[in-house]
Amino acid sequence: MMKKPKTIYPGRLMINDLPDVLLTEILARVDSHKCALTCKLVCKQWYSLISCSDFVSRFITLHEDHHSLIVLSMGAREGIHGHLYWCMTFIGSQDLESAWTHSTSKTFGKKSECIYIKSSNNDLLLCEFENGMHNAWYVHNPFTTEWFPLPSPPSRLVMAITCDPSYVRDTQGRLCLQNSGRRRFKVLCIGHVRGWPRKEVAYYCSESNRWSEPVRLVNPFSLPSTNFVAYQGKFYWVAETPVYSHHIIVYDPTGAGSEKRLCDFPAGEKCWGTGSRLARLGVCQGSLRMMRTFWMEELQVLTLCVWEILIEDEEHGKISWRLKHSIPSDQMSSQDSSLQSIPKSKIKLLEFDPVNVGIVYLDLCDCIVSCNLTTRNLQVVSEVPSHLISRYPYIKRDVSNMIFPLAHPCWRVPLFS
Amino acid sequence: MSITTENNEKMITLMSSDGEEFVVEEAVAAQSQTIKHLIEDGCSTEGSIPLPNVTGRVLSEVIQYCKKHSSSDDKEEKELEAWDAEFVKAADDHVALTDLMMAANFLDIKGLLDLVAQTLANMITGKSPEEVRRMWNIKNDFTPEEAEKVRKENQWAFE
Repeated sequence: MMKKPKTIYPGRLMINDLPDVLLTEILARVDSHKCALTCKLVCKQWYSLISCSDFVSRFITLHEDHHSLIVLSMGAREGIHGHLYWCMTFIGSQDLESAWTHSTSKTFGKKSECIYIKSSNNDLLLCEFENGMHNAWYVHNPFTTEWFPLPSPPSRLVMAITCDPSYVRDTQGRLCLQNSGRRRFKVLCIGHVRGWPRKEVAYYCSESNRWSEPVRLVNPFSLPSTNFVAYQGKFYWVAETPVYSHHIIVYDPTGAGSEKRLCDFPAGEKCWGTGSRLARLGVCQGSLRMMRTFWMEELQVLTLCVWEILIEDEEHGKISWRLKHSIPSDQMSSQDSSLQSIPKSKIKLLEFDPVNVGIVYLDLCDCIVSCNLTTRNLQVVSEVPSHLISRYPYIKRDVSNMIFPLAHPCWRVPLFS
Repeated sequence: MSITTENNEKMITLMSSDGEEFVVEEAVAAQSQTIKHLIEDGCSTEGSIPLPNVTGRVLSEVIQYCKKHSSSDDKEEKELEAWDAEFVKAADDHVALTDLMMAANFLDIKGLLDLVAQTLANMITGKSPEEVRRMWNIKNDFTPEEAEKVRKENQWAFE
């Protein structure tokens, strides 16, 4: 059959004659973030469409399948001459691992010092670079391989990061990018002041590029006994008093004040020992959550509970608890042959999945496993890398401090833009 | 005008912008949400449904798509996907895909809109800006300085 030249159709629409919404629909379907950036060079109309936040939202919706989670751990590996080399395990992505090695070598040279992750939020990591007596702190974007040096913090006992834009699911379960127009971050640090047990808190803000004046913690017992979470621009953690009662603490880096103590744990749940593994905070689907395991005396079984925490009146420290899941460990199942013989009562808490509301990560005898909260199914995600265990035997006891959840963005937002 | 066929299927007539008439089963036409709502509102009882935004050439492609998709059920998903791929390749020879996309948008046929948008996107993927411009006759309206600025902006992603 003879193929007719296409120009013969009268009134044929050129691609740029399409309304913006349809052209956006086409451009948002190109296969990668890189390709979309290339398209910015085609003409000014494409440039402005692709720079628009509507485009980014549509791109993320259409490429959601690729928006996987990565939990990563880090440590140092012994090199050939007994030197330590940086080593990070990106669980679920070997590409990232090699990109990371490449970008660290490029940025820091092949030195024998270590880089530790201190905190993660969305797609960013807060890293500490150990360099003899002079440590340095960086905000790192592993997806764009950028390193942003932080000015030296006033104290450095514990640190946490929060950043925009954030990857969240809306109420309909669709993934979207909040505050997509802005790349900014805040870093929190808590450290000692002379005169135990008082501690002080300070924060760094990317917009001013400096640390705030340190403020003393109001409550002497506000030190975290769990991980930090960043939620709606504020930092939350759980603190424990010497009489084993627990509080949720909130710190608002935008306010001039200090930390606030929110109300106690759910009634009847107060006395549950110490240690970061007993409770874990997280943010899922736009809500603050906590998980913990506890021994149910009447059933004689270890149970995993997940609560949603609703902040009702922060000013007066009023919050309410909603129990979302209560899963006896003997009802957890697994198709993985390596898990079948292990009693599920050995589970320890690791992290919430930052993207998928129905998944939490647990540690089961040196395996990092994902737990589907609805089907109660356990699946091995990774084993704790053996070089980590041999280098740091204590990791065996507390791998939770080495695991950081990271949202793998299909749309990458550079630190410097 | 409503006609019924021997198996009691209600037929309706669609009229394109250039006056071409297409008689199709109601179930076929109802693949288009726009037409479905017109039928529900009783707009089809007298005469044919006029579609002033769609030419006969494009409408005949759209009807082909709707016919296939109203007669297939979900079980044949794989086969349908293959048919879609063939359909859009053939349609590209007869009409401009941009026209087909406009029609799919106006008639509100989500499957067809997705199919055409994805096909056009696939044509862009992997091409240089210059190749894309040539393919669709797009004028490069950046000055060399402006283009350099955009390139700089993008640099981090290409290292």
